[in-house]
Amino acid sequence: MNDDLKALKDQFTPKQKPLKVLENKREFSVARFSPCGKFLFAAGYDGHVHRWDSSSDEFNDITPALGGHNGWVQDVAFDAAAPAVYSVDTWGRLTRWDYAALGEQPQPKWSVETAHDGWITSVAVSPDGQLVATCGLDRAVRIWSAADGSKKHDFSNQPDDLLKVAFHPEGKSLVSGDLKGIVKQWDTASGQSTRQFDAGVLYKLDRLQDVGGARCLSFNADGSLLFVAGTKPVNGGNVQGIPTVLGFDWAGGSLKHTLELGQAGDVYVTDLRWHSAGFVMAAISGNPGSGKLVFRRLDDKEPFVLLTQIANCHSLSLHPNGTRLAVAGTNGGSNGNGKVVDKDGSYRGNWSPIHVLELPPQA
Amino acid sequence: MTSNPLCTPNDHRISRRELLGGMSCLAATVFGGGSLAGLADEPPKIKDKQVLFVWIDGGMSQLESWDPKPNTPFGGPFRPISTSVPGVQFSELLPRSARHMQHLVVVRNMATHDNSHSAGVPRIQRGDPKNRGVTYPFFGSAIAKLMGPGSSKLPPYVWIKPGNGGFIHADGGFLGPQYGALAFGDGKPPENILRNPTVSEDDDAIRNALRENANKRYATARRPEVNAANSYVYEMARKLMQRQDLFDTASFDPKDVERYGTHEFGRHMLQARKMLEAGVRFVKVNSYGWDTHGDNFIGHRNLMPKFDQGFAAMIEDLAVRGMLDNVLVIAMSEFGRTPRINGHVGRDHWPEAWSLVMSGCGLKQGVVVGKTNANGTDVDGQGYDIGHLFHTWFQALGIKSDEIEYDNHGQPLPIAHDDCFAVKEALA
Repeated sequence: MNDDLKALKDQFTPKQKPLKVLENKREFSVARFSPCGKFLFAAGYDGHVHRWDSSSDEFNDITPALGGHNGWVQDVAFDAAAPAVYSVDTWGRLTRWDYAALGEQPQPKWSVETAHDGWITSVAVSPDGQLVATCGLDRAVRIWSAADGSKKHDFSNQPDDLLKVAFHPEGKSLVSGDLKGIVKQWDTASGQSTRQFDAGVLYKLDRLQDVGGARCLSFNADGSLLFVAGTKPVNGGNVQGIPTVLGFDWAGGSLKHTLELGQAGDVYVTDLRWHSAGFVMAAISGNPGSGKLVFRRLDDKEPFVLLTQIANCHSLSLHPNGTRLAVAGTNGGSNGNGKVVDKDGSYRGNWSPIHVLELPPQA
Repeated sequence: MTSNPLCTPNDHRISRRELLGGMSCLAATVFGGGSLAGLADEPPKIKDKQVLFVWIDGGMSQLESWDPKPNTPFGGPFRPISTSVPGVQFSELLPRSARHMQHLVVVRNMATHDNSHSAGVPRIQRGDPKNRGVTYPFFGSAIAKLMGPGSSKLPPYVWIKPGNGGFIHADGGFLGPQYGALAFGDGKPPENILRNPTVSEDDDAIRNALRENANKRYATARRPEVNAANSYVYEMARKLMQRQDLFDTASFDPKDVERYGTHEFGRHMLQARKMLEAGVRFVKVNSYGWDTHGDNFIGHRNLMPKFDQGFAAMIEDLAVRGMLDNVLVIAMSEFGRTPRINGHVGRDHWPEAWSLVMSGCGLKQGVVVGKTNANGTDVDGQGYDIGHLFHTWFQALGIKSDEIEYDNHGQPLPIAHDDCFAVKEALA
């Protein structure tokens, strides 16, 4: 390991012992710090958005959880400047919460009950906070006014299920990724699709099942690289595949980087973000019990940080101060055929402990 | 088990190329040829009743199909939808089938024993009878034995499946290989079943005469049923040679192809309908890839619509043609999937409380049998084992499962688990 890489490792390797592990009775699809750093939000399979006070090391629950959703809350996204968070669920609802002053009976700023016909898979907020984008398994991408939830653009009738949306940092473009690994760029002003990127290596038809897809979309800080991540599928059913990140040159559209971050049992890159120090941070979840947190520079062969002690990492979120990382995982022993019961005989569900990791103080 | 000596290559050097899958050897070693106690040696001539058995291999999730539990701890992400029967809901992943609920019987209280595929698949398809030291036949083999090929004289038990085909003798269990499944890999006929174009009809007749002579020579040193098995399978194959239309998918109505789906399952279901229309007694259609331990929900979102398309089109067509009066339709897996969701966002194996669906011959219509508790973690009330379903299916087909027994060379064997009984609330 060269000095450069060693310095990165020293600077960004989380402490072995988490600052806090938030044990919950629920499973979460994502957990995210608010841009102000004072709150941690998590999207629950119980149809609620859960909150913690992250302004102290105690991470106390903030009750009640935010309701009004059905099925699962699949994703949350924040306005970078204003205290607004948007939540989406699997029954099609999009809701804005102004979280600075929710009180004891939280009410949404606005909510669109049928933003999509069914499962909304992703929500993103434009850099200027004016637009909210959603996509779903109804094969539609939609752009909404952040102010009042009115629909601005509707890109319906896309050829495949849509899994992810992300705004480009310059704010004029949106990208959407589908189950076949096709990523489309949309002009947010005109509502036109301008081009597409082929991440088809993240897809496979296995018997009847379309496996994989563009599960993560992200940009580096200056928007010169588009990252598309998921898995290079081996098979469906009990999905197996190699967690993979593709880096496309935004200007020219060519594929510049391919990062394979594990073995076939590691399966999905579930969450991805670019760190301004020049590396990608990836959460990985595959076979029950296997989970990875990977920090890797684009041109390196190996990660400089590889944590494997958190089972099934479903999301990662870097605190704005850069010294904390929230990783939503899954409890150990989450799988098993047949009936697993507690000592009292009750059927036991799984849950998502949120591991709050400490990074060394940043220079 | 018979005591027939093993055959030698010389015994059937001439004819074996023309026999399916090395049937001669298998017959000589396995053929048991159980008859039916209380009846003549000939199977009962129950005309026209047929079976379509749709096997969803790996385990369809009951929560993402026939028994949704929306907004409960294990209910998953999908919405429930109404069906054509008021008060009955399916997962939103079954919109087409929901429109045909008036023809269906949904059993929501299946409670079986095996949570592994290797044990569960044969155990379920053999009806999980009491252990009497024999290997029971798969349901298709049982029907082939109990009901025979019917007036079509076509093979009584055919299996349309992905992958390879061939003659699957093991399905026959103690009944012997004659009652195995004739499997069409990807719906294609067995290789070399057609007369080679370079062989004239006259030459073919000469070859057949030679084959018959060889068979007679072979039979002199074997028990009669061995030769009967060989001849039976060979004749079945020859019957198929006359029905090339069943395999000529290019001749299928494009509207049907579109309705059933151009995917593997849709193609196979349409071909199954053709087989049923041709009079095949028992048609099994397999779909593989349902063992969704990982990514269960995106997986089911992807798999279920294809099942739904082919299944609903089949029910619609059988209903329109009046065939549901005679065709018993069953769609099921070896078990369901766990309510709890594992770290790979998957569901594991769950025999405790799961669902299957049926329709047609001898059954009520638009009925839900049994229920699970609010969270879907247990059967609420009585559960049914696969033995109960075997009794139900036999009786729906007019076979008195509590009276008829197999006669395995003097050993009387019930045709379904003797501690189980037919599900009365499902029978018409």
